[in-house]
Amino acid sequence: MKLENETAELELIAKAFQAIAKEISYGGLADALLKTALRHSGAVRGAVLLSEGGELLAKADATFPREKAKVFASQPSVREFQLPDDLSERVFMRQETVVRDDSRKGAALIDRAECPTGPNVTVLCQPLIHQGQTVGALYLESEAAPALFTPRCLSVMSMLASQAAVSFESAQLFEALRETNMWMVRGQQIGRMGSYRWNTRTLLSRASRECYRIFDIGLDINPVPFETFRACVHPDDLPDLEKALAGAVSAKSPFSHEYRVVHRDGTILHVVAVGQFDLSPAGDVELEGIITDVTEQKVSEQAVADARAALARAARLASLGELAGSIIHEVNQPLTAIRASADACLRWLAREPADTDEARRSALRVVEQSRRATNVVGGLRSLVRDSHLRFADVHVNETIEEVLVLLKRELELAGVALKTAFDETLPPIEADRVQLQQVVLNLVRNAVEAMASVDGVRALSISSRVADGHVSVSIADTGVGVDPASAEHLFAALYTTKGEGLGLGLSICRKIVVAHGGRLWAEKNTTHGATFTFTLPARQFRRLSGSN
Amino acid sequence: MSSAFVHIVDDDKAVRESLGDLLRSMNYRTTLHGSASEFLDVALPDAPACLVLDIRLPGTSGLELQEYLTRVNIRLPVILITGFGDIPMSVKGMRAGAVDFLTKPIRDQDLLDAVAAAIRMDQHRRQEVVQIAELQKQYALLTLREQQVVEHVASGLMNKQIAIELSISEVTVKMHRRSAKRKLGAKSVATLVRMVGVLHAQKRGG
Ligand SMILES: Nc1ncnc2c1ncn2[C@@H]1O[C@H](COP(=O)(O)OP(=O)(O)O)[C@@H](O)[C@H]1O
Ligand SMILES: [Mg+2]
Repeated sequence: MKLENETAELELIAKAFQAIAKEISYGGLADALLKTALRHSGAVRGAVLLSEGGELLAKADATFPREKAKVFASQPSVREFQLPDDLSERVFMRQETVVRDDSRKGAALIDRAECPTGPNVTVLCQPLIHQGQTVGALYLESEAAPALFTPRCLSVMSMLASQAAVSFESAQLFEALRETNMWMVRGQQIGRMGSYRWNTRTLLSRASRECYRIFDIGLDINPVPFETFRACVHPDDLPDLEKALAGAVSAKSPFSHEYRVVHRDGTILHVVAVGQFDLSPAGDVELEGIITDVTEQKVSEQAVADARAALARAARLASLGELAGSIIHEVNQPLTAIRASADACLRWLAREPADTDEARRSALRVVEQSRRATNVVGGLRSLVRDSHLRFADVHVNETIEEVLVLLKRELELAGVALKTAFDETLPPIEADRVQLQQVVLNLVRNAVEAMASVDGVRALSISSRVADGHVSVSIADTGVGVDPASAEHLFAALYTTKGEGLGLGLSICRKIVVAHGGRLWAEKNTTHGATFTFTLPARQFRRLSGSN
Repeated sequence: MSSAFVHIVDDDKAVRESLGDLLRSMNYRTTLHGSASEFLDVALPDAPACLVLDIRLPGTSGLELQEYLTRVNIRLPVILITGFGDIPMSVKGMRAGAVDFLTKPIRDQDLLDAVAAAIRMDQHRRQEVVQIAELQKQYALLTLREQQVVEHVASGLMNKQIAIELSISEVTVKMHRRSAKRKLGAKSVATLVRMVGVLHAQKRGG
C-alpha cells in the first residue's frame, strides 16, 4: 500500500509504533513488526529474525551468532529460515541496510517448488539495532517494481526497526522482572507455599501437600481435575483468574495472579499463584509454579492501611478548617482587585470621550487577577480533592526525578545548577505519589526563590538516603537561608516574606509529610543557604504480587 | 481632576493598584504604598486627602499605623479595608477614629461614598486649621489687658466682676471688650466666646 498523503502516512506510522510498543512478548512483538512492515512497504513476504530467547539482548554479545538466529515471525510461515551468507555478513556484522534486486534463486522465502518462474524479487534486509548491538533483522521480499523500496519507505522501515528494537528490550526486562518477582516470593514465603504442575492439555494438576491444605482438597484426589480446582476459587475471583490463565497460556508468558480460595467450612484465604510454562516430557505445555497463602499478610496490611487512612482523613479535616480562613483570604485578594479593576474599566469607558487606554489596562488587570484566583484555587484543590491519600508503592528517587523533569526549564531560567545524590538502595515506600511530588515541587520552588536574590553560586542539591527505617530526602540551596530561631515560623499557614507569596507552600508540605507518618524541618547550612529535609517511614509490609 | 489625594496602603500590589485605578477613574489623585513605613517615608502633598488602609499588613499593621498617625498629630481621615474575619479589628479601628471601614471585595459605590466623605472631612479640617491660624494671628494683636478681659468674658464673668478682678473701672472693661471684638472681627459676644474656646482647644490639643 502506497500512501499519497504524508500526514495520513505519519498517522499510520504512529499507530504502528503504539501497537509495537504495547507488545510485551517476543512473539507478539515480532508479529506486530512484521505485519506493519509488510503493510507499509507493500512487500509480499517477510520475516523477523531474533537472537535466541533474546539472549543477545541480555549479554550484548559482540559477535552475532548466525547459527543462533531464530525466526520469530514470518509470512508465509516457515520453520527454518537461513539468510543468504553475504546478506547476514552485511546486515548482522556491518549493520548495513541492504536493498537489492535478486533473481528468484536469491530469495529466501519463496517456495520455488510451487512457483518456479516469475519476475525478479527485490529484497530488503534491515538490522534491528539496540544500543549499538544487532539484536535481529527484518527481512522483506517484494515482487513489484524495484521502486517499491523508496528512500521514504526505507526511512519508515528504519524507524519501525529501531522502535521494535527498544521494545524487544522492554519485553526482555519485563520477563526478567516477573521471574525475579517469582523467586522473591519463593524465597520469602517458605512454609506457606505449595508447588504445582498443571497440564494445559489434560487440564490435570499435580500438587504438593501444602497446595492441598491451601485449597482444602482431599489428599486422595490425585491428580486434581481442573473442575475441582475451580470449585475452590472464590466465585467473584473466578472470571479474572480464568482470563489471566487463558492469557498466559496463549502467550506462554510467565503467570502471576492473586485470588481468594474458599474452604468447605467457609474460611477464606488469599493466595498468590505464580508460574511459568514448560514442556512436559511428553511434549505437552505445562504450567509449573507456586501457590502462596498470603492471608495473614493481607489482613495486617489491610488493618494498617485502614488505620493510616483514618489518620490521614482526620489530619486532613483538621487542616481544612485551619486552612479555610487562609483560602478565603487568598481568593479574596484577587477578587478585590478584579472587582475594583472591572469597576474602573467601566468608568474609564463611560467618560466623554472614553479613555480606552486606561480601560484596557484595567481590563488586563482583571484577566491577570482572574488567573491568580484560578491558581490559588487550583493549588488548593489538590488538597481538598479527595479526603484520603492514595497509598501505593512509591520509588522516592523516581518520584523526585519526575518532578525535576517538570522543573528543568524553570531551573535553567533561574540559573540554578542542580546536583542529585540519590541512594540507589532506597526501598520503595508506601505513599501517595502525587502528594509527595507536591512536597518536592514546593520545596524546590522555594529553594529557587530563595536563591533569586543571591549573586553568587546558585546550587540546588537534592539527596536521598535511608536510615532507621526511614527514607529521607534533603533539598539544600545556597539562597538567603533561614534563621534557626524562627525556622518553625516558616511552616505556619500564611507566613510569607514574598510579595506575591501565599505562605501556604510549607504548611501544605508539612501536612502531607505528617499524614504519611513523617517529619519535615528546615536547617541553616554551615556556609550559606538552607536545607529542608523530610523523612518518611519505609513501608512495613512488602506487597507480594507486584505484577497486578 | 480634583486636587484631592487618596493615599492607599496595601501590601498586595494587585489590590492597591486596582484600588488606585478605580479612584483615578473617579478623578482622585492617588499615591500607592506597600507598607506602613513606605507610606511614612514620603512627604504628603499639601492638599485635601484621605488614607485607604489595609488592616492586614506585614510589619507594622494597619491599626498600628493609624495609632501612630494620631499620636504624631497627622490628622488624615482613615478608611480601613478589611478581609474576611477581620471584623474585631475593624471595630477597634473605628473606635480609634477611622472614618469608615470597607470589606473586601469592595463595591465601587461604597468606596466612592467613603472617600468623598473622608475628603470632605479633611477639607473641613484644613479650613479650620486656616481659620485657627488666622485667629491666633489676630489674638496676638490684642494688648495684654484686652486678652485678660476677653478670657474673663469667655469664662462667663460679668463686666462688673471683671472690673473688680482686674482692679479697673467697668468703663475701661467695656472699652477693652469693644476693642478686642473689633480686632478679632467678632460680631457678638457669643462669637467671641466661641473663638476663645477654639483657641484654648487648639492649645490643649497641641
Ligand atoms: N529555601 C528557603 N530558604 C529561605 N527561606 C525560605 C525557604 N523556603 C521557604 N522560606 C521562607 O518561608 C516562607 C514561607 O514559605 P511558603 O510556605 O512556601 O510560602 P511562600 O513561598 O508562598 O512564601 C517564605 O516566604 C520564605 O520566607
Ligand atoms: Mg513557597
